[in-house]
Amino acid sequence: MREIDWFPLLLTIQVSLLATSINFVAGVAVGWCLARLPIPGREIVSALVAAPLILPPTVLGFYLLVLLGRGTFIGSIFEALGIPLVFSWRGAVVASAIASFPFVAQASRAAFEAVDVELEQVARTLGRSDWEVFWMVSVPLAWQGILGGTLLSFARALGDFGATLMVAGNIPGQTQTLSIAIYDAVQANDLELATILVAILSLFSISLLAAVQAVSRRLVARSP
Amino acid sequence: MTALEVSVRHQLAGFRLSIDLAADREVLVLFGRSGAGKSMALRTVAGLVRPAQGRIMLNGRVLFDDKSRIFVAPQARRVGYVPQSYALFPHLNVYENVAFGVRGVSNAEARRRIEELLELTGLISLQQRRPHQLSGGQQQRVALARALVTQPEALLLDEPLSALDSPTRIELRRALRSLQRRFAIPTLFVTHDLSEALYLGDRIAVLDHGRVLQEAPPDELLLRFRDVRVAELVGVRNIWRGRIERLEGDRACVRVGERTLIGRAVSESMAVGDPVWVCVRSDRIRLDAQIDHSFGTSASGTIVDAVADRSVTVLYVKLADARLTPEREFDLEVEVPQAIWERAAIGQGAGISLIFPPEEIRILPVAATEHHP
Repeated sequence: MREIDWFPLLLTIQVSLLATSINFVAGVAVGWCLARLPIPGREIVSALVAAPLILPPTVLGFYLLVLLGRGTFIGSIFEALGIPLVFSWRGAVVASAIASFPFVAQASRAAFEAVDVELEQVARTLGRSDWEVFWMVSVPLAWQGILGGTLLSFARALGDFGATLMVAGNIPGQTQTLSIAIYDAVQANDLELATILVAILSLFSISLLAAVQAVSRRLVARSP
Repeated sequence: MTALEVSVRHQLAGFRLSIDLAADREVLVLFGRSGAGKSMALRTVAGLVRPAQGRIMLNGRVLFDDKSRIFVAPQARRVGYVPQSYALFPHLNVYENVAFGVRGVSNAEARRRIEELLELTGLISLQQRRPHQLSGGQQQRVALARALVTQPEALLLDEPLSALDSPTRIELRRALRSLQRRFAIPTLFVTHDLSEALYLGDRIAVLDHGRVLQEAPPDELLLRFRDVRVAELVGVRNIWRGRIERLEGDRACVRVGERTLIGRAVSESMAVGDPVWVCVRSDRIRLDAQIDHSFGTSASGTIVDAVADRSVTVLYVKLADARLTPEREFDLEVEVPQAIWERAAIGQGAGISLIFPPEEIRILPVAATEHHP
């Protein structure tokens, strides 16, 4: 049995978990706002949120470089803090977070929209603050949709290639994630390594999708 | 000071709400057809709709006042609201639903209050159930208990009985009445059902197109309606268009079709020649064995049709001469108690004599913009 460098796998898990955590908080917030606040031009905002789904990864990566690169305003702040974003594993977090953000945001929006507004209104007349209503009524009734979106987002983050490559680069032992390592292995004609890594990534992703299916099946079964 | 005072104006796309209501520790029914603005009025008091203008006062507290820019959030109004759908929290059981609004008291006190309400609403044995495991009537009780346990200063009920089957509805309106007596808080009760309004209302406000047409205790509303729309809504079946021929005090002789009827003019601003509505309840026209030929108060006719309706029989009568509505098959409807009808032993095609008591015939003004619906 040959020696395999497990760094890309561990990095990918770390990056995906972090990206998904960020997406969970931001996506639920954005999803709730889209579902409940009287936002002017709601569908335009919604289209912007969904854009990473259809934009080519290179385009997405290019935008991120322009926004976060060393010479940019945001980039220089992080640089000054000693935690540069581009060409570091943190850049990979940002790239895969952006690429997988629509899944949480869209699923959360749909889940919150499915909650009867009247339940939230009655909860308010019962003296509960908006924050309490959110946690005691909206989230408990929307959590399956949110969870489904979060799992999909995690699966998407695991496999991100283009945006991550553009922003974080391909530095073995530093920014080389699983999907980039697969690309490298194929380029180096190391099909054995590529096969092993592909098998791992496929297994992960398909298990996650199965979990999503199970969650949404329960959702359907429970709705009247 | 009245406990609850509501005076609000609000404009929405294609709909204007302009209502003035006052309720003491009593049930004020908001009665009208769907789309009359009843639910919106209720949601305004709950704080779920912010009106453009007006003032809402509850026990001396200002809940809304556009002039001083006060809008108290629903959370702080201390108003119990039960929407038509009940809006029970599907992820919580009965006990948790009722407990939802209990705050700021010790656990023991909270438990005592919740159990008291569960007891009062007959839900003690169901407290572990989820809403979807309850019947409609039980769900309604949970919604009521959940609103009352917060010790609200007013109760708002939106068509609380309309989704229930008839026996449950009758049982629950009794329960509702005794709960309201016990808590003695101003209660706004929205319904489109006349018998419900009459049963539960201490007073009834008739709403139509966002306005209050008339507000009165039930018996007064039934007999002394002041508006033809109110007459229709409280079930007056004989409404004719006529023209005033003669006026003597509040007595008016009115030409209706080929006949002259004598009735009571409800408005003082009527003049000879004015178009008017002539309204008489079908249970106020009397059947008579003998024809009384005194002018304008009696007539003879033929029964065109007779239909049993619960405890009464409705007779469709065509007058023998001097018809009221020559264009129709019959002129008027007369309601006879079932027992009397059975004893009379007559049927379709039989001739009868009628008396129109002038004090039961109400002459209402025709508004300039009004059309018969």
